[in-house]
Amino acid sequence: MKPELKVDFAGVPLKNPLVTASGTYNPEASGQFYDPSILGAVTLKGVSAEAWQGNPTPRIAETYGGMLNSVGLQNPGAAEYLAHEIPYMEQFDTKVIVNLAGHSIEEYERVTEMLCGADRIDMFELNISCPNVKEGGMTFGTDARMAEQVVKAVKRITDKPLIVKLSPNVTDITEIARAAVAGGADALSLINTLLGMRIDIRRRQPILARSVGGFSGPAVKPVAVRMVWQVSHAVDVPVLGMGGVSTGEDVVEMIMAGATAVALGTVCLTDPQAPVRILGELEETLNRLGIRDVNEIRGCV
Amino acid sequence: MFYGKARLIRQRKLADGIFEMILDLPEIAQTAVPGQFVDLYTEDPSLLLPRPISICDTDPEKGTVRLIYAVVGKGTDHFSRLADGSMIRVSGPLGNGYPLEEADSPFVTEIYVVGGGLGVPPMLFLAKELYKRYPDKPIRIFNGFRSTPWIEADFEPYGEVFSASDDGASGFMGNVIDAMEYRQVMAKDMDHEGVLYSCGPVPMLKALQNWQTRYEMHSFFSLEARMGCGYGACAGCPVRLRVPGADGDGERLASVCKDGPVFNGEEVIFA
Ligand SMILES: Cc1cc2nc3c(=O)[nH]c(=O)nc-3n(C[C@H](O)[C@H](O)[C@H](O)COP(=O)(O)OP(=O)(O)OC[C@H]3O[C@@H](n4cnc5c(N)ncnc54)[C@H](O)[C@@H]3O)c2cc1C
Ligand SMILES: Cc1cc2nc3c(=O)[nH]c(=O)nc-3n(C[C@H](O)[C@H](O)[C@H](O)COP(=O)(O)O)c2cc1C
Ligand code: FES
Repeated sequence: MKPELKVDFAGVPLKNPLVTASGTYNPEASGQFYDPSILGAVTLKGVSAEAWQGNPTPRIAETYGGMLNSVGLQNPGAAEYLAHEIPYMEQFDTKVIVNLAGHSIEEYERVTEMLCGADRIDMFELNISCPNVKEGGMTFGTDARMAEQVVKAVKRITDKPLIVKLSPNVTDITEIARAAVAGGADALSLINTLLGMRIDIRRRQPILARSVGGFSGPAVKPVAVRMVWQVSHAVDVPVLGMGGVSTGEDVVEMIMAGATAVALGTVCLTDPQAPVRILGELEETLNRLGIRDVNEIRGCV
Repeated sequence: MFYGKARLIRQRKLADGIFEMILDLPEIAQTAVPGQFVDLYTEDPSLLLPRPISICDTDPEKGTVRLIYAVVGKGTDHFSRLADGSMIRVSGPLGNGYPLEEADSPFVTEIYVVGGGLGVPPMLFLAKELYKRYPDKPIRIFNGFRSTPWIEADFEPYGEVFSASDDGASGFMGNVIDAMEYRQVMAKDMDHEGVLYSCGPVPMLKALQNWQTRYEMHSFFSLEARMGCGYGACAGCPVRLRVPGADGDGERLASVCKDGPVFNGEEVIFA
């Protein structure tokens, strides 16, 4: 028997809890490997009001059980999204989450204003946790007062459900989580990448041009599970859990920790058909554990 | 797009640190075009990212793909130890490939195929397809090696082959640019148009970019980049391209893995 996979995520019905993580899904590129309509939702790469060039290269480094990236939110800007990425999603039967980037409250406001009229966008995800941009990004995600302010400002502009994406690079993630909810967040997503570094021992230089970058992949999963568990117990809004999820069992683990939906990031880069495989594994795992409905196990730990 | 396990039919060592693989990959053998690449994956948790390797040749009838690669690090070392019959996770064909049709114009009377080092193998597939399509146009093939060439005779059916090596171990002593200059001087036949296709190390491509501006020549370069996904999802592999404009040149970013790896040589901005 097929287990029930439907979940309600901050008022948005998802056919299953699987979502792609921002920055690891591109509609056209990923479409070469699987049909996004199998997923509960997809999250588009972080977008800012104007185009951003991102960081110098190399932007990618490999590490045991994961990778570092310092892409730096390279994106073509909101106008380009409205002309291409968003209309392209019309053909697919899946919810669309758009990840928003900015350097200042004004920039977050502007990108929200530009995109909030697009009907194809079901939810926004406010990225206040990118470790790869100098100002903005993570500075909002590591300061509770600023986090609350930026969430409030964006909530004033849009009625669409707002997910706030949290940084793991803090001492107490529940403090930022509470601030985001106080600002009006409808949901929280976590974790963004952990700040990391790798060195080329022959050249005696960092591998990444920007020296440091965001660490993601299976190695970060225990940190992510711990934080999802802490946050989902600290606030009342639903959580989109992510960080190292690579198998159906990992999805179940995240849901047991308290996540309503679960995002797949790095695994989509290292196994381009991962969403198809993990959806199958999720059903198989639930059956094996005798769980008829994913909603039964949420936050059971 | 193929994604799955492929059988390694045969692996052999061509020279010190240079290996050739023949993979059973009918889907890729039948659809790939020259200049495209495949991604090879390991199942080792310390090597999660795919390794891009250019398609050196295909045999659509046998359904096989030939790759030639150098051992430069952990991933390629891992592949070099795989025994015949092993299964490897592969995706491809990836990337855009060379625009063969650029040689269509009747004004194009010569085609240049220029490879350097590990940029030589993909030029074989290219030379073969160019020859099939333009049997009457002279194809001039310049291959640069550090020392003794580990692939050469394969090219002979498709054009006039000039090899250069840094140490003069074989062919012309010097780099491919020197060899090309030498050949130009000998021929003195530069008053018609040519198309140049190339793949090789950045210093070579930079020199070619300089060189081509002196001749009436369109060029297409295949680039390398550190990659994450290899298929256009992660924005890990950008290249800066020149966009000519009325008030000076602008710039745009493209991804090497999906928009490339082949770009118009005049547009590439080398860091
Ligand atoms: C489009 C394309 C086609 C290529 N075709 C060939 C080919 O036909 N034959 C061949 O020998 N090599 C080719 N290369 C280079 C080849 O991908 C690298 O040598 C290989 O990835 C090195 O892996 P490693 O684990 O041995 O090295 P490591 O240095 O241990 O690798 C660490 C990381 O850096 C990346 N990396 C290291 N060197 C390079 C490089 N030069 N280019 C891109 N990524 C690199 C690896 O993929 C890996 O993610 C190609 C590269 C690209 C981008
Ligand atoms: C290449 C890459 C690009 C990313 N880009 C973004 C982004 O634009 N916005 C964002 O909020 N998170 C971004 N992330 C973070 C992921 O969405 C995710 O939070 C993180 O990688 C942890 O999940 P994972 O271990 O499954 O990858 C990016 C991650 C990677 C690897
Ligand atoms: S390597 Fe991911 S976009 Fe090119």
